Amino acid sequence: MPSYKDINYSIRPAKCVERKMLVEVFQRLASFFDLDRYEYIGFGSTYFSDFSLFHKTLDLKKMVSIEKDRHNADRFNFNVPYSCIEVKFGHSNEVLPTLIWDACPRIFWLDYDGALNTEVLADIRTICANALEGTLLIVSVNAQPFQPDSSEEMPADGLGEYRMNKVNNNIGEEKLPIGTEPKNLSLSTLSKLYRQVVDDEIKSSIRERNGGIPDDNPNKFKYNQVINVEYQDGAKMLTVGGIITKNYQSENLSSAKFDALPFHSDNDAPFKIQVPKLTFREINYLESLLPSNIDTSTGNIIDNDKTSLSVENLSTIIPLKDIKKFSSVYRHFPMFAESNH
Amino acid sequence: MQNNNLKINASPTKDLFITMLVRDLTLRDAIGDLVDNSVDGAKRLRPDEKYSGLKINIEAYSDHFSINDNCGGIESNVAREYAFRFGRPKGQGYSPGSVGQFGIGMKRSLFKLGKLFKIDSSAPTSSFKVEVDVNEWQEKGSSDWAFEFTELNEGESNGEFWTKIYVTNLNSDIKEQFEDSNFLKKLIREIELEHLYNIDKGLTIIINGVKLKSRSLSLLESDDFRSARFEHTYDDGMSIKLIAGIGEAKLEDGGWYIFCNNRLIVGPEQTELSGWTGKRGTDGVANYHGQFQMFRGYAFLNADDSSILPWNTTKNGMDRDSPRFKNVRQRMIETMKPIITFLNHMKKEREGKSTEDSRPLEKKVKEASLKTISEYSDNRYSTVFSHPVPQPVIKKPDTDNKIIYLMAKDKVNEVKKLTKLKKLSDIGEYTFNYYYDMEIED
Repeated sequence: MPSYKDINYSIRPAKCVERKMLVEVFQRLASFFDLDRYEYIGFGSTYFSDFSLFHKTLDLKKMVSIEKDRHNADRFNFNVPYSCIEVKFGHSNEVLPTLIWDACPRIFWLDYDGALNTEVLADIRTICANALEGTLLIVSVNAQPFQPDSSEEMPADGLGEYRMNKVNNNIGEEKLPIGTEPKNLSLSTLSKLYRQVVDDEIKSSIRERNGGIPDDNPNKFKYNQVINVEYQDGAKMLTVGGIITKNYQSENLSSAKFDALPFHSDNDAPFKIQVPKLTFREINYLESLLPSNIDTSTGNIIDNDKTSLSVENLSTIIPLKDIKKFSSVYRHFPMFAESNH
Repeated sequence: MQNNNLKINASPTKDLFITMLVRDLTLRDAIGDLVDNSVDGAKRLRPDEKYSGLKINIEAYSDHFSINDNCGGIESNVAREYAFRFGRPKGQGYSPGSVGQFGIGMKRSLFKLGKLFKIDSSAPTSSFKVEVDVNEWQEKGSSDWAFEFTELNEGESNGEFWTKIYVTNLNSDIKEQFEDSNFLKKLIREIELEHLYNIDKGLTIIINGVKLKSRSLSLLESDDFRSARFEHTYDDGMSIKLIAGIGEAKLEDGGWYIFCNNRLIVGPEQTELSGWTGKRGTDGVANYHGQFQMFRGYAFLNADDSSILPWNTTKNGMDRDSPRFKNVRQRMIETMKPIITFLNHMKKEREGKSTEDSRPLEKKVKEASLKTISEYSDNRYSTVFSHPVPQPVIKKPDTDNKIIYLMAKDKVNEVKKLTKLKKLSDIGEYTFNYYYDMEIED
């Protein structure tokens, strides 16, 4: 069953934070092209949460949602929230190769339901082989470690073997980093392995596309990772991506200042979105201290003058680790409330 | 210590060329090389590629091999300085758009064939004859590598331009193959393919009296199908043109055809080399098999300086390690993806529906007409292969269950009599409804 039927993405808090972070990444693309030249391509499902947010905040006007369930086309079309969104029906492996690549730079957020597999890698290759320079490619996959369900049998060698079989089937042995072992497939490590496989795939396609032209050629393509985000609303998720540039755009790239984003990562160390459970009163109070009166690396209060007025020792009320988590995501923190509309 | 002792002898021996290097070359490719030389001559003579009137005549019999052409001849200074060298001297200009570029083709081919060869040439400003007895040449030792003209006229022209190569004392394995009519049939078929572009442009090639036919490259065309075309010129001057779409359903002909300077190098290519890696493979599309037999892809790689083309020295394969070829291959894969998608849709259609009327995609294919790529007009191509899309199937709401059961025949016959129903399915429905009316819905 497709996930849009069982989960309403809108109430996954870490995902909400991630979407808002991506808005900040997209804004910086203006260093390459005017944002209205960009076309956004994603998997809108029936909710189109990402489409709504990106249209409202960035005024993106060319948006395409790829939807594999062509049998319920009417339902998807009915749910399109803005007239600038077009739904293209078919599997992404089939739809992406039919894009007219020279038409415009694009923002791809390929937010897959499942684990990293050969279909995801095929999409990555299609994009890297064709996209215009200045294109942003973001991939999200489920990085929850594999666990046999009740219908499956555990192999004789146990969970490690089970997980090795799974990734071999999904990704293919030749794509796994040399020396992959069961210990690379656990909750704390699988996302790192996936990031590596995605990174290798992107770079290998880009290398083929460059066809051996010298390093100083202004038209040589390069991939620059911008984000590497992990979070766990339920299952562990990985979002990784970056911008495909040509050498001649090196100044655009440095003026975009992706590295100034607090959640920026150009390596295998992820930014972890952790959403603390807080009351509205707690949120309001913490916000009154941010950004300058909380040390975001520890969660400690910095300026006693201001805080002493209301609370003497804040950490006896809100755990220090929750203050720290909140201070790293507060600008993107979602507020949920019951509503009727 | 004396300097001479520091020297290590790394000079080649003649034997290397006569018996070793020829092992990497099949007889079929040796003949292909000689044909290439003639074609290069034709290209120099007629840069506009209008070859009508030009002819290459090959005889391959157990007592001799010969190839005669009227494609321009070899000038004596070219013969003296270059044509017979082993390897191309550095700085030597190339002949634009040629296929023989490594400077080993002709000699290697002649050594492969036999021990005695004569070359007779008449070019615009010179004519000559050369006769080489390979055994004698070998006995002269490794200090003297020269051949000698047996006749030489320079600065005059008889107005005819030709080259005649005649080889006797054929090597025993060569003799044997020339006696094998299957070898000759295969040779004819393959040279036909290899030079289909040039034959199409009017060049006549004859092998043992058989005139080679032009094999056309064709694609289906209609309002519903637009073949894909991609063109690109690299900084160094090499250009690629990819044309792909669907053609006749013929298992052995489907795949990619890769041409370098209009000479077919591989094709029909149905392996990982041209992107058929299998879904589990590294970077391409599914493995080639029946459902893709309509796929046709034509890749033309052209360069004035043929040494930058990513092919191997025997011109029967691509240089898979070259970054340039990897780039071309990536383009080929991207070009073929939408075509594979369409052929997958067609397969699904065949599986789902039994009657031809209910296969709209197949119907569209049948309505399209086969055009050779020279007939295919520019505006009928598109950047991405376009094709009719299957109509989405609207699923019926899933409200019914099917019940299947067995009943003794005599019991069924009794019910038949009473109900006067003939079809078993009607009897089943009737009896079910009977129970339902009696027990559930009064």
